[in-house]
Amino acid sequence: MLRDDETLVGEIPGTASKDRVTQLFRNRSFVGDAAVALVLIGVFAFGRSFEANTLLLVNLMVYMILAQGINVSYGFTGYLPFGFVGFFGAGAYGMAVSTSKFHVGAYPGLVAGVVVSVVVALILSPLLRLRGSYFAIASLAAAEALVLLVSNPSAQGITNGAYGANLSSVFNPGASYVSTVVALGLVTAAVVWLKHSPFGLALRAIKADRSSAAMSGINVVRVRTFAWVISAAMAGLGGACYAWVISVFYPGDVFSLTTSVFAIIFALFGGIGTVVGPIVGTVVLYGIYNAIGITVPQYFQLIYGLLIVVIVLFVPRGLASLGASVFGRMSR
Amino acid sequence: MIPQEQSSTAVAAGPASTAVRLLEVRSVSVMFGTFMALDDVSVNLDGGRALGLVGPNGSGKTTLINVVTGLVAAKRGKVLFDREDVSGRAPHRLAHLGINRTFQIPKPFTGLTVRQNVEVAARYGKGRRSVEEILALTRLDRVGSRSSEELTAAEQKKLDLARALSTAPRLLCVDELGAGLSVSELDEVALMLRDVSERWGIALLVVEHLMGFLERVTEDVVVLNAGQVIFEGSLVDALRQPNVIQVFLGG
Repeated sequence: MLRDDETLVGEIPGTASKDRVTQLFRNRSFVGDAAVALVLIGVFAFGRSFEANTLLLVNLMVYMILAQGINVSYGFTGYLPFGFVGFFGAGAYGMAVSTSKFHVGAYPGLVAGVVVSVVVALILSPLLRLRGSYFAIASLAAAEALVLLVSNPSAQGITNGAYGANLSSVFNPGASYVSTVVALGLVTAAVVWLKHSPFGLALRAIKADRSSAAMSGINVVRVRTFAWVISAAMAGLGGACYAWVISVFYPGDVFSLTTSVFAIIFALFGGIGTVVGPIVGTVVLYGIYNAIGITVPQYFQLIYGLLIVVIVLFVPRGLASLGASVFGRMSR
Repeated sequence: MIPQEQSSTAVAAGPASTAVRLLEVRSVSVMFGTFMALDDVSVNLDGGRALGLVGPNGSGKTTLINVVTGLVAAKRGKVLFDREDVSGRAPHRLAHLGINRTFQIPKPFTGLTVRQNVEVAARYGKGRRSVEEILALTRLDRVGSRSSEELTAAEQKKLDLARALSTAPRLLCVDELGAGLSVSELDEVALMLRDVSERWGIALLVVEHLMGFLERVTEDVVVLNAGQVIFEGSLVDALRQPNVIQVFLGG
């Protein structure tokens, strides 16, 4: 797309100089986003040498992945899936069942996790016909249906039902950690691509107005379904990595509504429609959660509640918008 | 503003010389529940020509445009574009065929800059037209890097027009482009519309309440009332018809 624009600028003499500035600025924002992704990967790649609690690092990464998935779904297409954790659980169980029942290796297991969540997303894609809170509630119901399906005694032969999954056959703390870092890298790169590609523009066009987007030649149903599938694949990948790391879990652990709510709050707090927002949101809020949430949970809920009110009232577009306006004023 | 060689090609492919039937709306009826929005309406339009659609509020003008652009399905009847039956096709496919429109209340893609608004339509609409040229034609080049929600109402209308034009339509439906514009803006937009129509040989289907605006764009009109065609012919003749006058002035 950037290249296209340059040829366009080249065709019309006399308009070039101003456009080049715009071009440069846009490039700079792309460079900035790519740098954010690289720094993020670097931090987590060497994370274990300065933080002994591996599970904390993994949780951070998994929440970043989920928050980016929410970002794709809500930030780019305007659909807020409260049942987003369903894809996370589907990915976790795809990993667990394929490795423990079908005895595939860990890496094919990760792929299976993503495939299962993508299949679930395709089955649920008619939900995209619903709008706003109707969609949010329907996706929540779908996630609830999914956990009942998995923990059902009749499914015990495959999923081990309510007794949970065990991935001890592929347990590997080192490889599972590295895979999570790679997964976070892939997910962040995908969001960078979305933000700077014509496809991302098309998604934002649909979000703004469906009819105008359709009249612009955008196949609305196909484009939004594709975004939905990308978002689900992110959650599935996160779930599969998480399952591999923790290796033993129960249906309630990977289908917990709290996971959805956290991911949504992290994404909204940081700022949707941006690359850096969900990352910052996760670091700040999950940091607060770990600092106060575990020791004094009652204060944690109070502070979280206040934070949500403050975000909605004063920073509806998240921390990233705050940062952008401060940056904008400085560079003026 | 218009490069010389382009306007001469427009004359060469002038409307009158190549009058080929572009759009044929054949006995279309549309029901909204029990309300008959369009009742057996037929409208024909030749390539490169312009046709006005007039009538009081609720007479079915916008519904007719919605049927032509695929946003509303007809209960009966057909829409032929280039002699091909296109009834029931999705809007984006019609956009690719060369049918486009502006909206009564333009809804620019918020969060995108003016240029990105046009870019996304140019790319997905497969128009292969220069974004810069479209922006210059619609006089939006100076606000190209601004966010589209910062535009004035008149600029938003031009942006909607620019978005439609960047898909390289052969038929452009214009829904009340003049509403809410000042006198000078009306002049500018009417000229713009005629200019692009002549330049690219675009046929226009113009819904308009403002006769002053309409007469600057076309002489031919179809008058709708309560979902039916009550007059077809020139605008001047229409205003002499007792039944047309009655519909507009309430008799």
